[in-house]
Amino acid sequence: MPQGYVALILHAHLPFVRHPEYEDFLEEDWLYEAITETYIPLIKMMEGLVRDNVDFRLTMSLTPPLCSMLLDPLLQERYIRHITRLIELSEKEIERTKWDRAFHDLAWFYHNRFQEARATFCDSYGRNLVGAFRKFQEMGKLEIITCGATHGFLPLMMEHPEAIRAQIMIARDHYRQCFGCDPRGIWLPECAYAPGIEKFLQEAEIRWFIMDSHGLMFGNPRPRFGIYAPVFTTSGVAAFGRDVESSKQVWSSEEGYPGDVDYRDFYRDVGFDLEYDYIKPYIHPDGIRCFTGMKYYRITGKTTNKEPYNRHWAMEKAASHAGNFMFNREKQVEHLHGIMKRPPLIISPYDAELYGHWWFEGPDFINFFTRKVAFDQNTFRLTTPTEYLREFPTQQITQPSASSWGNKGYWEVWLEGSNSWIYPHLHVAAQRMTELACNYKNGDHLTQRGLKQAARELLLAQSSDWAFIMKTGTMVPYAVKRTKDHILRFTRIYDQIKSHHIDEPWLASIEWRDNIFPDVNYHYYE
Amino acid sequence: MNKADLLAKTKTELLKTAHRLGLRGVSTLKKEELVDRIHEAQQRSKGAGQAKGLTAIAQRVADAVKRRAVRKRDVTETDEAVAATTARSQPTRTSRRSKPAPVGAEDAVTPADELSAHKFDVTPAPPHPQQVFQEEHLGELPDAYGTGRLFLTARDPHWLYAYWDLSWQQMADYRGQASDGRLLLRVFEKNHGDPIQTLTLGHDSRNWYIPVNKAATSYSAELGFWRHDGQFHVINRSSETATPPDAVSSDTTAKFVTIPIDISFRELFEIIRGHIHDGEALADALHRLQLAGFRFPFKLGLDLGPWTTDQTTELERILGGDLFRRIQMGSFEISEWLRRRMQEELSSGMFSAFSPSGSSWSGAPQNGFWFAVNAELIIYGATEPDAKVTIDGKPVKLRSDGTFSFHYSFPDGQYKLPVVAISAAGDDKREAQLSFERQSRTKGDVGKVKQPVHLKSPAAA
Repeated sequence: MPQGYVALILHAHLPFVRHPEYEDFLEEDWLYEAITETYIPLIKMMEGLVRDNVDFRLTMSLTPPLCSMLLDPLLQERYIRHITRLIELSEKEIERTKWDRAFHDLAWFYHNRFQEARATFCDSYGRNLVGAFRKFQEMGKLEIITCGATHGFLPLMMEHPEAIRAQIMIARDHYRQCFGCDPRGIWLPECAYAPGIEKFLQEAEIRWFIMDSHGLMFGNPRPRFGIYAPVFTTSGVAAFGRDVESSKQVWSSEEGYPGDVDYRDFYRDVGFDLEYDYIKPYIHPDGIRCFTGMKYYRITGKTTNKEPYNRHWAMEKAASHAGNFMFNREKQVEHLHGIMKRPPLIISPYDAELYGHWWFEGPDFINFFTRKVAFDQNTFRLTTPTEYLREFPTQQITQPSASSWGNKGYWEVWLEGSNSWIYPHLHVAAQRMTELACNYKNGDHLTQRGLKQAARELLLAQSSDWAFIMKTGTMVPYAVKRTKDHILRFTRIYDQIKSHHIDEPWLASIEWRDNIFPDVNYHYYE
Repeated sequence: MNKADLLAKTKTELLKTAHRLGLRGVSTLKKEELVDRIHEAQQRSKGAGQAKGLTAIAQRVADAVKRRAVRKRDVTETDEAVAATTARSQPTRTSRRSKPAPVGAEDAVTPADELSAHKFDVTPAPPHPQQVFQEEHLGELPDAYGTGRLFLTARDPHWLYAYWDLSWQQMADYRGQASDGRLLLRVFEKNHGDPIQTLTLGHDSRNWYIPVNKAATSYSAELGFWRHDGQFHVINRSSETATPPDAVSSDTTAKFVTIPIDISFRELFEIIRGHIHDGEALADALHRLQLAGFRFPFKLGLDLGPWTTDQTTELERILGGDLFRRIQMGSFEISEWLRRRMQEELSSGMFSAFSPSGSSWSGAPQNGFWFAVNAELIIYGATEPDAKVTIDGKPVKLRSDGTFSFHYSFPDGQYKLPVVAISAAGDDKREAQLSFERQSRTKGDVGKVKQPVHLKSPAAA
């Protein structure tokens, strides 16, 4: 028996951004970049681990908006257009850099990588990356968990329990469609928990959730094992707390890995570096320079004179960081085991998109770490929360405390000067949705279409992403517009249903636009 | 391509083919070995050809769906569109109820109809709108809905947040009824006793952040005014909200319970039906019954061994420091920052809007001034549009008017570029030999390539 357990948890989420009404839409690039730089590298990593018979465990939340986008034919089509353009750029780069050996090799490196991404997307998985992740879940290697239906910030809906219930039940339904089984765990959006949310999880048969360290530590009664074991809430749903030490090790500025001089520099991109006329076909159609994903430099140090990226050095460094991370976990586990006299569990949750998109070598780091854990040590074992609970079904009963993983640990990021204006609208819309669901559930076909679309608009307006963007101070216009559009569309449907006069052509047009959750069950709002 | 064809190529050509196929570590191979590797790889990719064929079908379906969706008016349904409709409507109705077929790599070898049957089953293409409203004339959000509701929530252990949904008219009316013309927000600990704070609302205020002393305490608020008869008129009362605790609990009692994850909550309720008290939570009931010796159809593990205060002290020593010095910029902030802001930052030119301090991840100029210079070489020319042009042996694509241009990065050094044009008939050939030399000398700090100097990384605090 190992002395302890480590669970790596990656939260993969992007807000629902899909604009069929435009030929090109800048914000859709979030998805395309994440596919190339994060999701496909993680899939390739798991393929490799399975091929080499490495026994591994990984947990990922794949949120309903992300799954919806990954399964959407229009966005799939546009991703292929996007990656094909990059392949073309990399071909030009191979020629352009013929006298610059270091860059020439990198151009080839990107060329092969983009080709591989397209082949993985189109050929290996028939455009269905959700199916790719599902495959690893069915092999017992990856545990996929769900999230709120649209990443709504649940604690600020506490006065509208139906809205919380709908966020969870609709996510559960969507998960079933994507993965053919029920989710065992949930990533509460923004890890935001308030006492009482577990009751809705119990109804959905969701068995555990993740919270930030202080949410568990400040639980009542005091959790005996701190954050190194889960607790049961009184509803029987388990809560797991984030380990501070392991996340700090990856992300702190002094000791964090991604800032290493040999790693790829995120900011130097040919989209900015190259001559305008040459790069113009590959940047934003309006001619605005933007990142392309081809980045030739390493971090180098505190200098503006960056040196060319050396893939070989970067891989050496990722392997050595993985070794260091493993060593520290071994020491941590040994030490905790000595105190607790039972195996501690270390929960290391991260945003998935950090790995690959931001920290380019991140997926390689996880790959090396996973392999080393399997072959180079016996102190701890990788696990998933479900597997851990199966092995350790006896835990303490505690009421965890309200908390989130945002700055300062509570609601402040999503409730402050820039974004508090949205809540009166969201609350009224939630209350009106319940009114509609109760009073018009026996309406005719058109009314039911109206009810479904009203639910979609409310759900989309509730994404915590919009409040977050408003708070961070940039791209605010898009977030404001999304919030307003969804609320206003909701209000118009509400008025039309109440006045028994539904404008069908307009309804059809927004059904086509905001097409998330085709079978949304509005009865959850009753 | 068979082996003989491959052998006829130069090693450089073969290396290029090998790179295209994604073969690694081939540059040191002998030509024959290289041919073998390429041949193998080509055979493999032929095997994948089948998958491509199916993908093409799926793609056609998706294309049709897309065309269909984009078209404003469906005048004629093409065969493809009909095919797409059939492929789509089937899964949405049936396959969702039956157990969905496993998806994954096997897709590549399942029949095409099955493939498309579950490819789109979660988000089928939306129904085709007859009209797409580019401008919906949605109007503006109302200032208030006039529900009169008073919302109160604890934002963190020391702040409450309140808003009230009153229209300007309602606010003015209430002010008119007040003896002193003022609306007040009164905050209570729990929901009774004297208010711990009374706030006079400004004329344009719609919400309020209220500092409070106590964490882990329940608060409520009421919105109202003093009437002329000296009574306080309550417009609305909020529900109670509790500030979260900001320290570990002093209650160290530990109740343990066994809850097997593979037995559903529904089944657990069933097992203890008749023994659970009214209003008792599931885990509490299980705990009570497990201690009382109720027979459960699973193994209990309540004996966790002794636990000492030394152990508690030691664990808290480990956790304490970190817990109270929360990472100011966690992984969350970094990633959100990136994925949601980068594009916009760059495209809007608002670079300086953010600059988390002390980045160690990207270099910033020491003082305000900086300079970078580099050179690229552009070869351009024109010939008959149907002629063949090569630069340094590489074919160049001509534009429709016969012009062409080509970019090269141009580091220090000496270079020769032969440029050749051959007529379409192959009977005329012209050649140019271009030679270049670049030498750079710099004084002071001169960078090589332009970079967005304003960009800084979101380094942790």
